[in-house]
Amino acid sequence: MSPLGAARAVITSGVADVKGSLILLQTQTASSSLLDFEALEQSTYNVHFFTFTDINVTTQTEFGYRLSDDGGTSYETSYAFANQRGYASGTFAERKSEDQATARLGGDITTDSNSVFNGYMYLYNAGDSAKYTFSTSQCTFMQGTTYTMEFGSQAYTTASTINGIRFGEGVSMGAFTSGTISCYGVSEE
Amino acid sequence: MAGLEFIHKETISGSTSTTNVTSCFTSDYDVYKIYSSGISTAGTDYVDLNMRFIDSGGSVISAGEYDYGNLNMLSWDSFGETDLTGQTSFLRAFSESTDQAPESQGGEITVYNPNSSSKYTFITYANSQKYGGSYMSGLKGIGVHKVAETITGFQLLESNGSRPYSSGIILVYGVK
Repeated sequence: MSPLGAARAVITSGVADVKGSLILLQTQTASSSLLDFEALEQSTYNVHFFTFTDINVTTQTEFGYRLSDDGGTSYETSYAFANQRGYASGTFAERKSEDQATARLGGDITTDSNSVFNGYMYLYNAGDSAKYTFSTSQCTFMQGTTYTMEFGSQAYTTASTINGIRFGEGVSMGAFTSGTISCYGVSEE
Repeated sequence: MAGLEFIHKETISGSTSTTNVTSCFTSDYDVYKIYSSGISTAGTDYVDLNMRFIDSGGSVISAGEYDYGNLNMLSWDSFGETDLTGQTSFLRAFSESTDQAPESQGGEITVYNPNSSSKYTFITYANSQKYGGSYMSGLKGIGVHKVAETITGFQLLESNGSRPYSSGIILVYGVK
């Protein structure tokens, strides 16, 4: 890991947390808000790792992200995804779209305090202006009384440099009640 | 995850149908992470990206020693499974399919137990991609190399043999 990379983690997050080649770029906690990450250092990292902890939503809905190529001034609204959702009760279902306004990570999460969404996601190619941007994800949560998991893949199929990502609830990308998201760069040295 | 320790970066350049990453698995770790990003083909025909292991003698293992189970998640169609035993590679471990840029892929592979000479080596993997102009897919899979031997590296190979790739990176880490 480079000393400079570690220093940037301190500056952007306020917490010096370097786990080998996982460089913490930023941790944010929501309070009836969206969470935007606009310090991706996409020219340094080809792969980013995100963790989602105790995400609580305002209504029964899904959780996902949008990407920005203008530093967060605007967020794009066309994504494809292909996810597998499974209920502990035994029912599995395909959740997919070729064009949705958000990249879906998981749903439907319910609102009670025990229904929190937890999981992780990798983001690939953010800094490559000549290629599309992809992600893979896995999450777990409650849907009412039903234990639920969802894993899958998402894509933003416009070639551009991605320098911001916004997390929120629903296809309309609304503010969510609470939860913590951390963004790591996967160091290449 | 407690942490990752960087081992190797492979930058793909030129036009090739195979990439060997050698001597990356040692006794230092029991579990390894492999990330791939931005692998795109040289031509306009899309192709699957598979994986083979390299043995302690430095030879690519191409015998029918690989079992796998894949869930192919297609954004435009019903999902499907590809589950086979005794195969010559892990089908689509790097990518369900990739194509010429801007179409490409990203994915991760976890390798368990490669250094053990007395146990099988297992992998889990997930990838995301776009190809063929309109096909976005995901893939989640498991695999085992069903021979007890020491594995020291791996090979990325395109499945067709005549649809080379020409860009992208592969990153290898030990899991601390």
